[in-house]
Amino acid sequence: MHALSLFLLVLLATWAWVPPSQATDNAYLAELKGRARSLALDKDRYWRILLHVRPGIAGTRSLVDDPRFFLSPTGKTDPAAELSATLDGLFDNTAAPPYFCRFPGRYAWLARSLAIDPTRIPRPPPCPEVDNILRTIDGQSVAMVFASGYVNSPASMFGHTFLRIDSRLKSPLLSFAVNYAARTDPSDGGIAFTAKGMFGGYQGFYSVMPYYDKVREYSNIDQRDLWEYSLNLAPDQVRRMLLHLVEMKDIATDYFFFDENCSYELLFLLDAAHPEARLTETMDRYWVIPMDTVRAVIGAGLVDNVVWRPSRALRIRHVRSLLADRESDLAVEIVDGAAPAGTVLSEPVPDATKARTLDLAALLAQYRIAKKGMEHKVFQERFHAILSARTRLGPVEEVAKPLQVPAPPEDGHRSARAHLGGGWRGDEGFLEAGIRPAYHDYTDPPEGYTQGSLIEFVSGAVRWYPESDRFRLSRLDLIRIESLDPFDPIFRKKSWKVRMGFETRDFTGERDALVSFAGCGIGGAIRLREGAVAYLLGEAEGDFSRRYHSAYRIGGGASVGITAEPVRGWRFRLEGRGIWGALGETREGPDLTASLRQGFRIGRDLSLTADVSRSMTRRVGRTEGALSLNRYF
Amino acid sequence: MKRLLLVAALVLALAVPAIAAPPSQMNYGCGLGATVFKDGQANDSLLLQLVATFLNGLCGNGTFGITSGTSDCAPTSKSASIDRLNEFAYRNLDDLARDIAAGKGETVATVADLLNVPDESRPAFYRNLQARFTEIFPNPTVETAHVVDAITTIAAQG
Repeated sequence: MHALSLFLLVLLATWAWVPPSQATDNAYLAELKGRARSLALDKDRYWRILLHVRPGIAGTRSLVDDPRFFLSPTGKTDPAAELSATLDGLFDNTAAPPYFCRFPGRYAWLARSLAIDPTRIPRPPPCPEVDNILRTIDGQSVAMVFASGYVNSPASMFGHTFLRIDSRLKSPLLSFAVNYAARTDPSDGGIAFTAKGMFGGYQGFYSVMPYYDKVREYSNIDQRDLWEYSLNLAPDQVRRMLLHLVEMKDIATDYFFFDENCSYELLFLLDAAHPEARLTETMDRYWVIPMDTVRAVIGAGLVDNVVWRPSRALRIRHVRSLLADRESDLAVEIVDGAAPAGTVLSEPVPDATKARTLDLAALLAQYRIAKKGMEHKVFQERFHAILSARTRLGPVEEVAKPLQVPAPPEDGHRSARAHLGGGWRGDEGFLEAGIRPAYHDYTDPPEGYTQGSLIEFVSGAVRWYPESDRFRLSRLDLIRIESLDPFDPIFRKKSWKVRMGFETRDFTGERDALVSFAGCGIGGAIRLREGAVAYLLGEAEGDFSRRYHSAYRIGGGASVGITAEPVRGWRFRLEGRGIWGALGETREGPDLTASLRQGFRIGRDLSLTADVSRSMTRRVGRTEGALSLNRYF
Repeated sequence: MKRLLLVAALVLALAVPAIAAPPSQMNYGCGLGATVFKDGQANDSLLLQLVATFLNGLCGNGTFGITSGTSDCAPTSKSASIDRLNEFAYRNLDDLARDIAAGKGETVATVADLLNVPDESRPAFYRNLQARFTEIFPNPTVETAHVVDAITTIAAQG
């Protein structure tokens, strides 16, 4: 420990930033600056990429917030001043570490663009740190990795992307992963976490780690599939990316969950490798969803091929599906300690089945310890016993029915949706238009999305009733999230929902009115058959409107329903739901609704939905039907 | 309306953390909530990671069930690829043991890569490892150093 800490301290001390000394008064420096001016290098796209500049409302500015990233005091907002200061730095041999080593990406680019004569500048210092990093990573090619969404974690709902730098070694596990993430404060609670995450309260940093650690995080602990998109970047492009990555180490950028996020910041690295792809320009939006950046990378023609890495949970389910109940129960008993691992060997089944039983037991034991559901000592003994039994069976022929590769996420619909439609509410017709910036609903085409998850942000619809010439905000869901996870004896997960927003509802003898509401529910789901899930959730809801007695109603109830895809391209959700008031407005009856929503896939980015519902609100019964055309973009 | 919004926001703020996984748990999200270091280790910068991971490796001498955590040690072997094998075995011991017992898998392929086992002799190498599982993993608390030694010996014997 001592040696390492000391080493680190020395390193940190030598890497501490020292402001540039006065520019050397040097004729060659003046000449280089002149040439840079005449070439307008400060407006060059590559310079803007290296500085992470993007045009904004407040004018052109760098997204980087760390002052150590800029050699000029006005560098954040003035790329020309920063360029001039960077050239000054070339002649400054007092800085420690030398600027040349601190900003290798900038100087490599300047040397190329200005054809700098190495004999006329102070001898470039050796950069052992940079060389060491480049040599260790040995970057030959790059893959972009997409980790599928994980609805049980608020920050992971839309998935995540990171880069994998591949070396000359064949096994991708030995590659290095480059990740961009916010450094969060573990003591922050849910509210502080959400607020800080959305409004730049955390700082984001690039980090590098072995790829096998990322695989463990995602596919072994979080149970998320990984999609690995190999990019067709050449080794010299990878080198440029790494030189820029070195410049970015320890450099802080304020993190914004919606746009300056993990996925957007990675694009600077890809642009540094291949500026013609213009990825940061393409994705310069207020709302950057990880999969959309992957689409942009595919659209730029950078992707060679795609590899799917199923999560451990999926592999467990798959091995289990190949076994009879007796064997899979035995595997669970072995992991629970109810049967010794050796019992499998005397089972009256073929060796291949025995081997699979033990494979399942080993995977289950690993799952248990990853979830901290097993004591360390117990794990060691059982795991060793399982493997010792397994090794006596010799090799087993390949599985007859391999895991089926699901539709890749880029085959899924785009993440924003707009719809147009019309229908009847009671005896009055209406026309409706709506928009949803993100992300996915059960009745949208399911390809490429996590099964059983519904995530909608700021999803709204307005209606026009021509007969009475009324405009109504029909609904606005600020947040709506549902996760239906069918019960499984191994993976015990709850099904839950949260919803918050505004909705126009009926009131007795009066006109309808806008109600704001927030609610949540929790319960269970079961799989009826492949693609069909039934659920029951207990719910609590708070509603607020001046029409209510004392302006609010807090109540509870339940919802029960089925989601299914009977044939590819036709999905439906049938639901019954009741909410009874307990506080505030309690005099009137409950809200009861029965609804059927059907989705028909027309193309990847086009679908039709048909809604029918019958509701009882404030003892007013109403039937409603609507048909709408959805366009994903 | 403002008041209503506030109440609604409060209800939601109470509801979301109660249901969804609390963000303070290990939570490798879209960057958010992903601490740069894991498991309560020092929350340090890329520099530390670069140094820790790249320069020293994560060798250590682990046993089954150690899936994270680093331990400091100087590279002890003569070759860089053995250092990486040590590091790999240390960080992936459970998966490696499972793949060796099954006679196939990505981690045994990775070991073959690091030991420069030619493609054509890999099937035999995997069979060998499987047959000699009890030599490589003689007991439940076997340490990485022994595992790596045993594997390199088997690889050398062909």
